[in-house]
Amino acid sequence: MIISTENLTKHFGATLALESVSCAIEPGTTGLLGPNGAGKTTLLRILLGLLPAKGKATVLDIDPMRQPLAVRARLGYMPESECLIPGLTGVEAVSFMGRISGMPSRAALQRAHEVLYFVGLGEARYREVGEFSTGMQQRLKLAQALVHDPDLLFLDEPTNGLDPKGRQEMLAVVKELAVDHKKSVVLSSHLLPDVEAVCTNVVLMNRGRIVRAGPLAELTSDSDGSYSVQVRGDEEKFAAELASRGGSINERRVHLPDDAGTRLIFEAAAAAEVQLREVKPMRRSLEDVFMEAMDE
Amino acid sequence: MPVYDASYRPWEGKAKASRWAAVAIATTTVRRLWRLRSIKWLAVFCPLAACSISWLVLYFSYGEFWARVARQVGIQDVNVLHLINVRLFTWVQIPAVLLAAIVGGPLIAEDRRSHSLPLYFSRPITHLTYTLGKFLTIFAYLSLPILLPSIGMYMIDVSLSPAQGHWLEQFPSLLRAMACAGLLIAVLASVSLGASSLCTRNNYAIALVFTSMMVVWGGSEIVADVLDNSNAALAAPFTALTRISVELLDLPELLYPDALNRTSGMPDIRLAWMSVAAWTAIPLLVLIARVRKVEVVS
Amino acid sequence: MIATFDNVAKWYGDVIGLVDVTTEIGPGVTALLGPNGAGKSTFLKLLTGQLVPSTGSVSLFGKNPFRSSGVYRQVGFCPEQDAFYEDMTGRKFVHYLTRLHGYGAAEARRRSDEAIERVGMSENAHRRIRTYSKGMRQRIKLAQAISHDPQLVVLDEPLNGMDPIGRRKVIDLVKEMGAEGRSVLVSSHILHEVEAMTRELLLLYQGRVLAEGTVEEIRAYLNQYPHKIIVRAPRAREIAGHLLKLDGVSGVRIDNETLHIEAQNPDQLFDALPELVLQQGFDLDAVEASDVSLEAIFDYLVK
Repeated sequence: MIISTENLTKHFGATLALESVSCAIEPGTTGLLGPNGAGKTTLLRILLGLLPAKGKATVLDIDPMRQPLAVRARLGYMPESECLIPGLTGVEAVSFMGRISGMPSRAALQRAHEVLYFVGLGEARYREVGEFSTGMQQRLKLAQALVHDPDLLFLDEPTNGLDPKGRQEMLAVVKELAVDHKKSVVLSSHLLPDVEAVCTNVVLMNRGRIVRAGPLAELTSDSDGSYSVQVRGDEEKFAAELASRGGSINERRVHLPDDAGTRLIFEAAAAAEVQLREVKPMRRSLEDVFMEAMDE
Repeated sequence: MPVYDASYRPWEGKAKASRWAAVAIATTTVRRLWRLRSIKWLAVFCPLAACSISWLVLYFSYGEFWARVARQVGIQDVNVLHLINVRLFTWVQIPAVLLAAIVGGPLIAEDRRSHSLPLYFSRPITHLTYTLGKFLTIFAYLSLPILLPSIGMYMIDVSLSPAQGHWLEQFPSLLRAMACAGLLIAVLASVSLGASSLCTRNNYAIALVFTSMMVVWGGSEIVADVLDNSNAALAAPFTALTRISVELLDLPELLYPDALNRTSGMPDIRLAWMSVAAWTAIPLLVLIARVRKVEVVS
Repeated sequence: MIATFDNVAKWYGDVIGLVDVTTEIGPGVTALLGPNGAGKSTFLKLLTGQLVPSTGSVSLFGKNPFRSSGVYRQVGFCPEQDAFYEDMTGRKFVHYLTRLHGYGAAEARRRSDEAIERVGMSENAHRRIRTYSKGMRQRIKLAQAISHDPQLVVLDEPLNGMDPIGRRKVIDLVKEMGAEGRSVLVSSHILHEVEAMTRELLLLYQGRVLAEGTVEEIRAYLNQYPHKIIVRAPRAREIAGHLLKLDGVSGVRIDNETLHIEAQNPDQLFDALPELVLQQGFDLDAVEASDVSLEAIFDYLVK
C-alpha cells in the first residue's frame, strides 16, 4: 500500500472540501479522476503535507501531516500550471530542483542531464526554459519531478496542451516509468482515454468524496455478456438473421441468447452475406463509468 | 560485462530535507539575476565608484593638501575613514534602493506570477528555508554597493597610510562601518521582500519598493521642516540610518551630513534606532504572514 | 458551399503559415486537425477574415470575409485564448457581444440567455468571469459564439481544460449544431473526442492540407500501410496457418492467444473469417481492426 487515508476531512471555512475520505492506493499506476471542485487537488495537497486535515493519512508509510519533509523527499510532483523559473536553462532548472530536494550539487547536475535525456529534452537542455514550447515545458516539469529519483510520482494533467504526438510520447514515458522502473504513479487527468491508456487502478471523486475506486478492468467490465459488432453490408438482413437465431442488435451492441458464443454471430453474418469488421466483448468505457458515478 | 538500460537510471543516493537548500536557492537566484544587464551594471558600478572616490580622498588625506584644508576649516583630528564612510552611506542610498527594488521586488512576486511556488513547496523545504534563500539572495546583491565599499575603503586606507600598525588601529572602525552597512542592508532587504510578497507582478513590486521608500523619505523631510522638528525626519529609514552612522562612526558636528543639520538640532538617537527596527521588523512580519498563506497549489 | 479556399497561401515574412490550400467547407461538423504549428490558427483566422491571404482567395458565403463585415453575422467564433473583461459577469459578456451583431437590447438579452442556457451556464452566468474555472470560461466563450444563431460556428480547441462532464456536454452540443444543418469547424488535439463529434476531417500539416474526408476514406487511400487486424482466439497457431494461405495476408504475429495480422487486402481476410469459424470449427473470441481509428491514421500521416 503506497497511500492510505482514513476518514480524511477538510473544511475551508464553511465549505466542505473533503468528506471522510478513506482510500487505499496500491503500488502501480492510479488515475485520480473527478470534475472540477471534486477535491482532487485538496487531497493531493494533504498528501504532499501542505495542508493539515482531520483524519489519518500515510504516504510511503510516512504521515504527511507530521513529517511533510520526509514525504516530499521521496515524492515527485508535476503541477498542472505552467510553472517554470524564468531565466534558467533546462539543466539549471532541473538540477536546482534536485538541490533543493537535498541532493549534493554534483549529483543533482548529473541527474539533471540524465532525466532530461530520458524525457526527450537532451538537445534542448542548454536552452533557456522561457523559450520552451508547451510540449517541452510539460517534459521539463516531468524531468524536475524525476530528478531526485522518487518512489512515487504525482502527475497533474501531464498531457494538457499537447498535440497528439506529444501526448502519445508523454503517456509512453509515464508507462515506461511505471512498468519498467517500478515507480508508483498517481495521475490526475480530465482526459479519460489517457487514464485508460496508462492506469491499472482508478479513484473517482465527486463533491469531496470517493465514489468509485478499484482496478480499471473491473470497473469497466460489462457483465451482461454482450458484444460490440460492426457489420459491412446489408445491416437489416444481418439483424434479421441474428433475430432468427435468438440474438438481437441495437446499434452496434449485440445480445446473444444464453450460452451462445461468437459462433452465432458468424453464422448470422454468413447467412446474411455481410462482412464482420469487428466482433468483441462489449466493455464500458471509463467515460461511461465516470458519468454513471457522477449521476448518483 | 552487463548491459545497462540507457533510458532511465535510478539514483543511488537518498534525498533528504536539508537547510542547505536555502543556499541552493540563493546561489541559483543570484546566478540567474546576474544575467540581467541592469542589475549587473548597478551592482558593479556602485562599489567601483565608491572605492575609486574613496581612494582619491584617502590619497590626498595623507598629503599636505588635506592638512591645509583641515586647518582652514578648523578640524584637526578627524578620522577620514569615518568621514567617507558616513558620506558613502548617504550617497549610496539611492542606488541601493534602486537595486533593492529591481532585485528584491521580483524575488517572491515572480514566483507567484509564474506559479513556481508549487514547484518549490513540493520539495522538502519549509517556508523558512524558502524565505531564507530569498534573503540570502538580496543580501548578496545589496552587499555589493553597501558592504563591499566599506571593506574596500578600509583596505585602501590601510594600504595608503604610512603609519605602522594602522590596520589594527583602524580595525574597530571597520567593524563599526560594517555594522552600519548591515543595518542598511537589513532594512532594504526586508522592505523589498515584504513588498514583493504582496505583489503578483514584478513591475508592481519594483514600483512599490521604490516609491514607498522615496515618498516616505521626501515626506518626512517636508514634515520635519514644516513642524521644525528634526525627529520627524527619522520616520524615513535613511535619515535614521544616517543618524546612527554618525553616532557609531563618531563624527564631529561640523562634518554632519546635511540631512541632520536642522535648526531644531540633532534628532534623537533612540528614535533613530526605533525607526530602523520598525522598518526591518514590520515588513518581515508581513513577509512571514504572506508566505505562510501563499496558495501552494493553484 | 459555406466557405471555399482557393489556392490560398499565407506568409508572415519568412515564416510559412499556409501554402497551396484549396478546400471547401460544407454543412455539418468538420474537424480541423494537425500538430502544433501546422497552420490551424492561420486557417481559422483566414476563414474568419482576421487575416488576408498572401495569395489566392478565401470566400465565405460567397464573399471575401476580410472585406465584407456583413458576413460576420453568419459566423460565430470561439477563440482558443481567454480574452475577457474579467470584471463582467458571464451574462453581461454574452449580452454585450450579442448586441454587437446589431440586435436591440431586449432581443440580445433573449438570445444571450438562450445561448447561455444551451451551454449549461445558466446557474453561473451571474458570477464575474474572474471567478470562473477553465471549463466555465470555455462554455461562456461558446455561448457568445452561438448566441446570434450563426450558420458557421468556428471553435478553436473548445474542450481544452474542461472536466469530463463539460467535455461531454460540449461534444453533444457540437453534434446537435451539426445536425441542425449548421456548419461547425472544430479544431482539437484530443482525437478520441474528435471521433465522438464527427467523421469528417481536414488535416493540416506543415502549412498544407494533408488529407480530407472521413476516417475510412483516408484510411483507404493509405494502402501502402498494410491493415492491422487483431484476432483473439484459442488455437492461435492453427488459425495463423490457415490465414497465411490467403494472398491478402502478408504476416501474422502470435502473442499468446492473440493474432496480430497484417493484411494488404483486408476484405479477403474478413470474408475468410466466417468460413474459418463455421467450416474449420475454430472459435474466435474477438476480431477488431486496430488501425482504422483516427489516432492510427494521424500516426500514419504525421510521421
